[in-house]
Amino acid sequence: MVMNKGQMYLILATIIVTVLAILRISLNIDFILENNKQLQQNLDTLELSNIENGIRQSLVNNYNIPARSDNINSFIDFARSSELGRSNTLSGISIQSEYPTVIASSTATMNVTIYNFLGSQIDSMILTWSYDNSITTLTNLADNTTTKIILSFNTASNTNYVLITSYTSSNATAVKNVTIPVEIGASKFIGFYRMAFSTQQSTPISEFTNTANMNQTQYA
Amino acid sequence: MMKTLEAMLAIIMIITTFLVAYKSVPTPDIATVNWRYYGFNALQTLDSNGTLAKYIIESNTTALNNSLASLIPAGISYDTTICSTDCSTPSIESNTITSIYYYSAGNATNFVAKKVILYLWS
Repeated sequence: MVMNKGQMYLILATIIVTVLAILRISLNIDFILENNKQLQQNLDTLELSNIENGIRQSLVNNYNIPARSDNINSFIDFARSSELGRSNTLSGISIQSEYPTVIASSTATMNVTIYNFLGSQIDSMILTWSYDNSITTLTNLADNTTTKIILSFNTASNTNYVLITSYTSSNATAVKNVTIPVEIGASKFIGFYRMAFSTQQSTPISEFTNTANMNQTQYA
Repeated sequence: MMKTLEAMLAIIMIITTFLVAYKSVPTPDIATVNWRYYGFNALQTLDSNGTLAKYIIESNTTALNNSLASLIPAGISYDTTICSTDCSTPSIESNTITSIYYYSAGNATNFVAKKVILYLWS
């Protein structure tokens, strides 16, 4: 059987179509897109870690300044406002506790600063102090505001207490346990931070505690 | 006449397949993501040895741009802005441009809340 020229064109076209289809399948664009998305998500995590480092560095830089908690929170507010400018959202909460040099069997006071940057009002917050199981209830903590409370303790030896913080807002309900290491003869700063960084690609989360011994002349 | 019709049919088959299979393929923007990585890593390198904080405190973009020269791969153009709230945007004419933010709290003697915006383009 002899094929005419027209039939040859059709057979050739079928072969070309098959090759084009095979090439398209082997391109694996979905894999490339997924890989690209993963890269962008990793970049978001890196950017959040940069903000975390800024918070840690803020404590170092404000070590000898009494308003160190406020200055750390002002750094968070700066990063948050800046990210808002490019449609990213940095939201979270910081609970910073600080006590002066502890003398054995003497009552010491601890200042606790709570900074709400969740992006919505905290309707209610309950702080349970494990030293005496006392409960402090706070209500209607507006977004981007700071609230300060004072707790006390009295111990004859080194110990760990826990500040159990539970809060409810329209966005979140959470319970966070912050361990407060108490050391006779030492003054400490214990900062707890939880942040979520929402971008178009992802929402990485960072949760960490930054503890510093305040008895040195500079951060060590 | 028949041969012409079959030839036309063959051409239509090829064009249709090409359009259907390839027209909707999105082009991933891989280059700018990689640039952002280069930029972030470059700033992180300067941050780790303390020079970035110094430039930021001094608002010295000239020194910062000079230091970045050896850290940003050749072929990628860049410029920086150091600012806190009012950040000026450099005039750059390019269709392929991206930027990265890098925050700093200064150093042990100077607490500042500032950021570097690193613009990268080709």
